[in-house]
Amino acid sequence: MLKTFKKIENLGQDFIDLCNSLGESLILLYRAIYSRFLFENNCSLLARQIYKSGILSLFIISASGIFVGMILAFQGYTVFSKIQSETIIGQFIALCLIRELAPVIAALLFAGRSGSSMAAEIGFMKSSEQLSSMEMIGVDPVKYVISPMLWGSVISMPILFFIFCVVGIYGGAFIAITCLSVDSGAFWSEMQATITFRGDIVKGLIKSTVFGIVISWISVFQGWSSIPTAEGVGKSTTKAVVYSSLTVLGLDLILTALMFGDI
Amino acid sequence: MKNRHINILVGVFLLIGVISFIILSIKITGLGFKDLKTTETYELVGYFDNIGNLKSGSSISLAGVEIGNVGLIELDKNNYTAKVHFQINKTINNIPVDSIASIVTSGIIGNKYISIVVGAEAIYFKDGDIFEETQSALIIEEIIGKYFVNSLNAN
Repeated sequence: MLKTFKKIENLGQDFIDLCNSLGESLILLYRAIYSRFLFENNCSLLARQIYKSGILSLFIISASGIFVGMILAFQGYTVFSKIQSETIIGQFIALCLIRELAPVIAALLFAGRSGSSMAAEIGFMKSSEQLSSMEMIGVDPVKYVISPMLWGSVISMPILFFIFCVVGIYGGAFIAITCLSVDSGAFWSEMQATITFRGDIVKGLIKSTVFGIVISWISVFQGWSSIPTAEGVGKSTTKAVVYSSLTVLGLDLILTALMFGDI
Repeated sequence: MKNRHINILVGVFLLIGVISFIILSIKITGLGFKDLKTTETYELVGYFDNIGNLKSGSSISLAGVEIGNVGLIELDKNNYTAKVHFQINKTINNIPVDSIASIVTSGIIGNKYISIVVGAEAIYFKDGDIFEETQSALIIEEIIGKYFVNSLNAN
Protein backbone atom coordinates (compact mmCIF):
# COMPACT_ATOMS: atom_id res chain seq x y z
CA MET A 1 0.00 0.00 0.00
CA LEU A 2 2.71 2.37 1.05
CA LYS A 3 4.80 1.36 -1.96
CA THR A 4 2.09 2.21 -4.50
CA PHE A 5 1.58 5.51 -2.72
CA LYS A 6 5.30 6.23 -3.01
CA LYS A 7 5.20 5.39 -6.71
CA ILE A 8 2.32 7.80 -7.32
CA GLU A 9 4.20 10.45 -5.41
CA ASN A 10 7.30 9.91 -7.55
CA LEU A 11 5.22 10.12 -10.71
CA GLY A 12 3.75 13.43 -9.59
CA GLN A 13 7.20 14.73 -8.67
CA ASP A 14 8.55 13.76 -12.12
CA PHE A 15 5.69 15.52 -13.85
CA ILE A 16 6.20 18.69 -11.82
CA ASP A 17 9.95 18.55 -12.60
CA LEU A 18 9.19 18.18 -16.30
CA CYS A 19 6.86 21.19 -16.24
CA ASN A 20 9.45 23.17 -14.30
CA SER A 21 12.25 22.46 -16.75
CA LEU A 22 10.00 23.19 -19.74
CA GLY A 23 9.11 26.54 -18.20
CA GLU A 24 12.71 27.32 -17.33
CA SER A 25 13.86 26.50 -20.86
CA LEU A 26 11.16 28.75 -22.33
CA ILE A 27 12.26 31.56 -20.00
CA LEU A 28 15.87 31.02 -21.08
CA LEU A 29 14.89 31.17 -24.77
CA TYR A 30 12.84 34.31 -24.14
CA ARG A 31 15.71 35.98 -22.30
CA ALA A 32 18.18 35.02 -25.03
CA ILE A 33 15.97 36.51 -27.74
CA TYR A 34 14.91 39.50 -25.67
CA SER A 35 18.49 40.49 -24.85
CA ARG A 36 18.58 41.95 -28.38
CA PHE A 37 21.98 40.49 -29.02
CA LEU A 38 21.77 40.93 -32.78
CA PHE A 39 20.92 44.62 -32.64
CA GLU A 40 24.14 45.60 -30.95
CA ASN A 41 27.54 45.39 -32.46
CA ASN A 42 28.55 41.90 -31.33
CA CYS A 43 29.81 40.57 -34.63
CA SER A 44 32.98 39.01 -33.25
CA LEU A 45 31.07 36.90 -30.70
CA LEU A 46 28.64 35.73 -33.37
CA ALA A 47 31.46 35.03 -35.83
CA ARG A 48 33.26 32.94 -33.25
CA GLN A 49 30.11 30.89 -32.65
CA ILE A 50 29.45 30.40 -36.37
CA TYR A 51 33.06 29.30 -36.71
CA LYS A 52 32.69 26.80 -33.87
CA SER A 53 29.34 25.30 -34.79
CA GLY A 54 29.24 25.79 -38.55
CA ILE A 55 32.69 25.75 -40.04
CA LEU A 56 34.11 23.05 -37.80
CA SER A 57 31.23 20.72 -38.70
CA LEU A 58 31.64 21.45 -42.41
CA PHE A 59 33.87 18.42 -42.93
CA ILE A 60 31.61 15.83 -41.32
CA ILE A 61 28.56 17.30 -43.06
CA SER A 62 30.06 17.28 -46.55
CA ALA A 63 31.66 13.85 -46.12
CA SER A 64 28.40 12.27 -45.01
CA GLY A 65 26.55 14.16 -47.75
CA ILE A 66 28.73 12.58 -50.42
CA PHE A 67 28.32 9.10 -48.96
CA VAL A 68 24.55 9.41 -48.55
CA GLY A 69 24.16 10.59 -52.15
CA MET A 70 26.29 7.72 -53.48
CA ILE A 71 24.41 5.12 -51.43
CA LEU A 72 21.08 6.48 -52.67
CA ALA A 73 22.31 6.15 -56.25
CA PHE A 74 23.28 2.49 -55.77
CA GLN A 75 20.12 1.51 -53.93
CA GLY A 76 17.88 3.44 -56.31
CA TYR A 77 19.52 1.68 -59.23
CA THR A 78 18.73 -1.80 -57.88
CA VAL A 79 15.02 -0.96 -57.80
CA PHE A 80 14.65 1.26 -60.86
CA SER A 81 16.67 -0.99 -63.16
CA LYS A 82 14.05 -3.68 -62.58
CA ILE A 83 11.37 -1.53 -64.22
CA GLN A 84 13.73 -0.26 -66.92
CA SER A 85 13.61 3.36 -65.78
CA GLU A 86 17.08 4.12 -64.47
CA THR A 87 16.74 7.79 -65.37
CA ILE A 88 14.35 8.32 -62.44
CA ILE A 89 17.40 8.01 -60.15
CA GLY A 90 18.10 11.73 -60.58
CA GLN A 91 14.79 12.86 -59.23
CA PHE A 92 14.82 10.09 -56.60
CA ILE A 93 18.14 11.26 -55.16
CA ALA A 94 17.22 14.92 -55.24
CA LEU A 95 13.77 14.41 -53.70
CA CYS A 96 15.08 12.17 -50.92
CA LEU A 97 17.90 14.53 -50.09
CA ILE A 98 16.10 17.86 -50.26
CA ARG A 99 12.89 16.80 -48.57
CA GLU A 100 14.06 14.42 -45.85
CA LEU A 101 17.59 13.20 -45.60
CA ALA A 102 19.54 16.44 -45.83
CA PRO A 103 17.64 18.32 -43.09
CA VAL A 104 17.45 15.30 -40.78
CA ILE A 105 20.93 13.83 -41.16
CA ALA A 106 22.56 17.26 -41.09
CA ALA A 107 20.59 18.02 -37.92
CA LEU A 108 21.56 14.74 -36.25
CA LEU A 109 25.22 15.27 -37.07
CA PHE A 110 24.96 18.86 -35.95
CA ALA A 111 23.46 17.74 -32.63
CA GLY A 112 26.32 15.31 -32.10
CA ARG A 113 29.03 17.66 -33.25
CA SER A 114 27.95 21.10 -32.00
CA GLY A 115 25.05 20.52 -29.61
CA SER A 116 27.19 18.40 -27.31
CA SER A 117 30.00 20.94 -27.30
CA MET A 118 27.60 23.78 -26.51
CA ALA A 119 26.10 21.85 -23.58
CA ALA A 120 29.54 20.86 -22.27
CA GLU A 121 30.87 24.40 -22.58
CA ILE A 122 28.03 25.99 -20.67
CA GLY A 123 27.95 23.16 -18.14
CA PHE A 124 31.64 23.59 -17.39
CA MET A 125 31.26 27.37 -17.16
CA LYS A 126 28.51 26.77 -14.63
CA SER A 127 30.45 24.23 -12.56
CA SER A 128 33.54 26.42 -12.44
CA GLU A 129 31.28 29.35 -11.45
CA GLN A 130 32.23 31.47 -14.44
CA LEU A 131 28.58 32.23 -15.12
CA SER A 132 27.98 33.50 -11.59
CA SER A 133 31.13 35.61 -11.70
CA MET A 134 29.97 37.14 -14.97
CA GLU A 135 26.71 38.08 -13.27
CA MET A 136 28.70 39.44 -10.34
CA ILE A 137 30.61 41.95 -12.47
CA GLY A 138 27.42 43.00 -14.21
CA VAL A 139 27.78 41.09 -17.48
CA ASP A 140 24.67 39.22 -18.54
CA PRO A 141 25.73 35.62 -19.35
CA VAL A 142 22.50 35.02 -21.28
CA LYS A 143 23.38 37.85 -23.60
CA TYR A 144 27.07 37.16 -24.11
CA VAL A 145 27.18 33.36 -23.87
CA ILE A 146 23.76 31.90 -24.67
CA SER A 147 22.53 34.29 -27.37
CA PRO A 148 25.55 33.94 -29.68
CA MET A 149 25.24 30.15 -29.48
CA LEU A 150 21.56 30.23 -30.41
CA TRP A 151 21.99 32.67 -33.29
CA GLY A 152 25.16 30.97 -34.47
CA SER A 153 23.47 27.64 -34.98
CA VAL A 154 20.29 29.18 -36.40
CA ILE A 155 22.46 30.82 -39.06
CA SER A 156 24.76 27.89 -39.78
CA MET A 157 22.16 25.10 -39.91
CA PRO A 158 20.50 26.22 -43.22
CA ILE A 159 23.90 26.73 -44.82
CA LEU A 160 24.95 23.24 -43.80
CA PHE A 161 21.66 22.00 -45.30
CA PHE A 162 22.44 23.62 -48.65
CA ILE A 163 25.96 22.20 -48.65
CA PHE A 164 24.69 18.72 -47.73
CA CYS A 165 22.17 18.80 -50.60
CA VAL A 166 24.59 19.99 -53.25
CA VAL A 167 27.38 17.64 -52.23
CA GLY A 168 24.98 14.69 -51.97
CA ILE A 169 23.37 15.30 -55.34
CA TYR A 170 26.73 15.64 -57.08
CA GLY A 171 28.00 12.49 -55.31
CA GLY A 172 24.91 10.60 -56.48
CA ALA A 173 25.29 12.00 -59.99
CA PHE A 174 28.92 10.86 -60.07
CA ILE A 175 28.00 7.26 -59.15
CA ALA A 176 24.93 7.15 -61.38
CA ILE A 177 26.58 8.62 -64.46
CA THR A 178 30.09 7.18 -64.33
CA CYS A 179 29.65 3.85 -62.53
CA LEU A 180 26.09 2.84 -63.40
CA SER A 181 26.15 4.51 -66.85
CA VAL A 182 22.83 6.31 -66.52
CA ASP A 183 22.35 8.88 -69.27
CA SER A 184 23.54 12.19 -67.88
CA GLY A 185 21.13 14.40 -69.83
CA ALA A 186 18.11 12.39 -68.72
CA PHE A 187 19.45 12.29 -65.17
CA TRP A 188 19.56 16.08 -64.84
CA SER A 189 16.43 16.86 -66.85
CA GLU A 190 14.24 14.40 -64.92
CA MET A 191 15.53 16.01 -61.75
CA GLN A 192 14.85 19.53 -62.99
CA ALA A 193 11.37 18.57 -64.13
CA THR A 194 10.42 17.29 -60.67
CA ILE A 195 12.13 19.52 -58.12
CA THR A 196 10.46 22.87 -57.60
CA PHE A 197 11.88 25.82 -55.75
CA ARG A 198 8.85 26.57 -53.62
CA GLY A 199 7.64 23.02 -53.15
CA ASP A 200 10.89 21.36 -52.18
CA ILE A 201 13.80 23.68 -51.48
CA VAL A 202 11.88 26.20 -49.39
CA LYS A 203 10.28 23.42 -47.34
CA GLY A 204 13.64 21.75 -46.72
CA LEU A 205 14.98 25.15 -45.70
CA ILE A 206 12.12 25.62 -43.22
CA LYS A 207 12.81 22.18 -41.76
CA SER A 208 16.51 22.77 -41.29
CA THR A 209 15.97 26.20 -39.72
CA VAL A 210 13.49 24.75 -37.23
CA PHE A 211 15.94 21.95 -36.40
CA GLY A 212 18.73 24.51 -35.89
CA ILE A 213 16.60 26.43 -33.39
CA VAL A 214 15.50 23.29 -31.54
CA ILE A 215 18.96 21.70 -31.30
CA SER A 216 20.66 24.83 -29.99
CA TRP A 217 17.80 25.53 -27.60
CA ILE A 218 17.86 22.04 -26.08
CA SER A 219 21.66 21.88 -25.86
CA VAL A 220 22.01 25.31 -24.34
CA PHE A 221 19.31 24.59 -21.80
CA GLN A 222 20.83 21.24 -20.84
CA GLY A 223 24.14 22.96 -20.17
CA TRP A 224 22.45 25.84 -18.33
CA SER A 225 20.48 23.53 -16.00
CA SER A 226 23.24 20.96 -15.47
CA ILE A 227 24.28 19.88 -11.98
CA PRO A 228 27.59 21.72 -11.36
CA THR A 229 29.76 18.65 -10.93
CA ALA A 230 31.95 16.73 -13.35
CA GLU A 231 29.35 13.97 -13.51
CA GLY A 232 26.52 16.46 -13.98
CA VAL A 233 28.25 18.07 -16.96
CA GLY A 234 28.76 14.67 -18.55
CA LYS A 235 25.12 13.78 -18.01
CA SER A 236 23.87 17.04 -19.46
CA THR A 237 26.03 16.56 -22.56
CA THR A 238 24.54 13.11 -23.11
CA LYS A 239 21.04 14.43 -22.51
CA ALA A 240 21.59 17.28 -24.98
CA VAL A 241 22.46 14.86 -27.79
CA VAL A 242 19.77 12.30 -26.97
CA TYR A 243 16.95 14.79 -26.48
CA SER A 244 17.79 16.89 -29.51
CA SER A 245 18.11 13.83 -31.79
CA LEU A 246 14.73 12.50 -30.64
CA THR A 247 13.11 15.92 -30.95
CA VAL A 248 14.49 16.35 -34.46
CA LEU A 249 13.04 13.02 -35.58
CA GLY A 250 9.68 13.70 -33.95
CA LEU A 251 9.47 17.23 -35.32
CA ASP A 252 10.41 15.93 -38.76
CA LEU A 253 7.33 13.72 -38.73
CA ILE A 254 5.11 16.64 -37.72
CA LEU A 255 6.64 19.04 -40.26
CA THR A 256 6.41 16.44 -43.04
CA ALA A 257 2.76 15.78 -42.21
CA LEU A 258 2.05 19.52 -42.20
CA MET A 259 3.96 20.45 -45.37
CA PHE A 260 3.78 17.36 -47.60
CA GLY A 261 0.82 15.47 -46.13
CA ASP A 262 -1.95 17.62 -47.68
CA ILE A 263 -3.73 17.94 -44.35
CA MET B 1 44.79 38.85 -35.76
CA LYS B 2 43.01 35.74 -34.50
CA ASN B 3 39.69 37.57 -34.71
CA ARG B 4 40.33 38.62 -38.30
CA HIS B 5 41.20 35.05 -39.20
CA ILE B 6 37.84 33.85 -37.86
CA ASN B 7 35.96 36.66 -39.60
CA ILE B 8 37.48 35.70 -42.95
CA LEU B 9 36.59 32.04 -42.42
CA VAL B 10 33.01 32.94 -41.51
CA GLY B 11 32.77 35.11 -44.60
CA VAL B 12 33.97 32.21 -46.76
CA PHE B 13 31.48 29.91 -45.04
CA LEU B 14 28.56 32.25 -45.75
CA LEU B 15 29.77 32.57 -49.34
CA ILE B 16 29.82 28.78 -49.76
CA GLY B 17 26.27 28.74 -48.42
CA VAL B 18 25.12 31.33 -50.94
CA ILE B 19 26.87 29.52 -53.81
CA SER B 20 25.30 26.18 -52.92
CA PHE B 21 21.90 27.89 -52.65
CA ILE B 22 22.36 29.27 -56.15
CA ILE B 23 23.44 25.85 -57.46
CA LEU B 24 20.39 24.27 -55.82
CA SER B 25 17.98 26.77 -57.30
CA ILE B 26 19.43 26.92 -60.82
CA LYS B 27 21.04 23.58 -61.60
CA ILE B 28 18.72 21.33 -59.65
CA THR B 29 15.31 22.94 -60.01
CA GLY B 30 16.16 24.04 -63.56
CA LEU B 31 15.02 27.55 -62.69
CA GLY B 32 16.75 29.42 -65.49
CA PHE B 33 16.67 33.10 -66.25
CA LYS B 34 14.27 32.41 -69.09
CA ASP B 35 11.67 31.24 -66.55
CA LEU B 36 11.91 34.47 -64.62
CA LYS B 37 10.68 36.69 -67.41
CA THR B 38 7.23 35.56 -68.43
CA THR B 39 7.03 34.54 -72.07
CA GLU B 40 4.12 36.04 -73.97
CA THR B 41 1.45 33.50 -74.78
CA TYR B 42 -1.89 33.24 -76.54
CA GLU B 43 -4.72 31.01 -75.50
CA LEU B 44 -6.44 28.17 -77.34
CA VAL B 45 -9.24 26.00 -75.99
CA GLY B 46 -9.79 22.28 -76.46
CA TYR B 47 -12.66 20.02 -75.34
CA PHE B 48 -11.76 16.45 -74.35
CA ASP B 49 -14.00 13.52 -73.41
CA ASN B 50 -11.49 12.34 -70.82
CA ILE B 51 -8.22 13.98 -69.80
CA GLY B 52 -6.89 11.18 -67.57
CA ASN B 53 -4.67 12.84 -64.98
CA LEU B 54 -3.57 15.80 -67.09
CA LYS B 55 -2.78 18.67 -64.75
CA SER B 56 -2.53 22.41 -65.26
CA GLY B 57 1.13 23.16 -65.94
CA SER B 58 1.67 20.04 -68.04
CA SER B 59 3.58 20.72 -71.22
CA ILE B 60 2.26 21.05 -74.75
CA SER B 61 4.59 19.79 -77.42
CA LEU B 62 4.78 19.94 -81.17
CA ALA B 63 7.14 17.48 -82.85
CA GLY B 64 8.49 16.76 -79.36
CA VAL B 65 9.47 20.38 -78.70
CA GLU B 66 7.75 22.14 -75.81
CA ILE B 67 5.77 25.12 -77.13
CA GLY B 68 3.56 25.95 -74.17
CA ASN B 69 1.77 24.81 -71.03
CA VAL B 70 -1.70 23.72 -70.04
CA GLY B 71 -3.49 26.52 -68.22
CA LEU B 72 -6.83 26.19 -66.48
CA ILE B 73 -8.75 22.90 -66.67
CA GLU B 74 -12.47 22.97 -65.99
CA LEU B 75 -15.56 20.85 -66.52
CA ASP B 76 -17.99 21.99 -69.21
CA LYS B 77 -21.24 21.29 -67.36
CA ASN B 78 -23.49 21.27 -70.43
CA ASN B 79 -21.59 18.69 -72.47
CA TYR B 80 -19.88 16.77 -69.64
CA THR B 81 -16.52 17.32 -71.29
CA ALA B 82 -13.28 18.73 -69.97
CA LYS B 83 -12.43 22.24 -71.16
CA VAL B 84 -8.67 22.71 -71.31
CA HIS B 85 -7.02 26.08 -71.87
CA PHE B 86 -3.70 25.95 -73.75
CA GLN B 87 -1.10 28.67 -73.22
CA ILE B 88 1.04 28.69 -76.36
CA ASN B 89 4.10 30.86 -77.03
CA LYS B 90 3.39 33.94 -79.16
CA THR B 91 6.26 33.02 -81.47
CA ILE B 92 4.50 29.82 -82.59
CA ASN B 93 1.74 31.54 -84.55
CA ASN B 94 1.39 29.18 -87.50
CA ILE B 95 -0.50 26.16 -86.17
CA PRO B 96 -3.07 25.12 -88.83
CA VAL B 97 -6.70 25.05 -87.66
CA ASP B 98 -7.15 21.37 -88.51
CA SER B 99 -4.34 20.25 -86.22
CA ILE B 100 -5.09 17.46 -83.75
CA ALA B 101 -4.46 17.86 -80.02
CA SER B 102 -4.06 14.52 -78.27
CA ILE B 103 -3.26 13.64 -74.68
CA VAL B 104 -0.36 11.22 -74.52
CA THR B 105 1.79 9.73 -71.79
CA SER B 106 5.56 9.83 -71.64
CA GLY B 107 6.50 6.22 -70.96
CA ILE B 108 4.12 3.77 -69.33
CA ILE B 109 3.89 5.45 -65.95
CA GLY B 110 5.10 8.91 -66.96
CA ASN B 111 3.33 12.26 -66.88
CA LYS B 112 0.54 13.13 -69.29
CA TYR B 113 1.17 15.89 -71.81
CA ILE B 114 -0.51 17.28 -74.89
CA SER B 115 0.96 16.53 -78.28
CA ILE B 116 -0.13 18.53 -81.32
CA VAL B 117 -0.13 16.85 -84.72
CA VAL B 118 0.03 19.52 -87.40
CA GLY B 119 -2.74 19.67 -90.02
CA ALA B 120 -2.70 20.83 -93.61
CA GLU B 121 -4.93 23.99 -93.69
CA ALA B 122 -3.42 27.33 -94.60
CA ILE B 123 -5.53 29.12 -91.97
CA TYR B 124 -3.81 29.43 -88.60
CA PHE B 125 -5.11 29.50 -85.02
CA LYS B 126 -5.66 32.89 -83.40
CA ASP B 127 -6.04 33.80 -79.74
CA GLY B 128 -9.18 32.25 -78.22
CA ASP B 129 -9.80 29.71 -81.01
CA ILE B 130 -11.12 26.22 -80.30
CA PHE B 131 -9.46 22.96 -81.31
CA GLU B 132 -11.96 21.00 -83.40
CA GLU B 133 -9.96 17.79 -83.45
CA THR B 134 -9.04 16.36 -80.08
CA GLN B 135 -8.08 12.93 -78.88
CA SER B 136 -8.69 11.86 -75.28
CA ALA B 137 -6.25 10.21 -72.96
CA LEU B 138 -5.80 6.47 -73.19
CA ILE B 139 -7.01 4.85 -69.99
CA ILE B 140 -5.27 1.52 -69.56
CA GLU B 141 -8.21 -0.02 -67.67
CA GLU B 142 -10.54 0.74 -70.59
CA ILE B 143 -8.18 -0.91 -73.07
CA ILE B 144 -7.89 -3.99 -70.88
CA GLY B 145 -11.68 -4.03 -70.49
CA LYS B 146 -12.18 -3.88 -74.27
CA TYR B 147 -9.64 -6.62 -74.79
CA PHE B 148 -11.48 -8.86 -72.33
CA VAL B 149 -14.84 -8.23 -73.97
CA ASN B 150 -13.37 -8.99 -77.39
CA SER B 151 -11.75 -12.20 -76.24
CA LEU B 152 -15.00 -13.29 -74.57
CA ASN B 153 -16.94 -12.58 -77.76
CA ALA B 154 -14.45 -14.54 -79.81
CA ASN B 155 -14.97 -17.54 -77.58
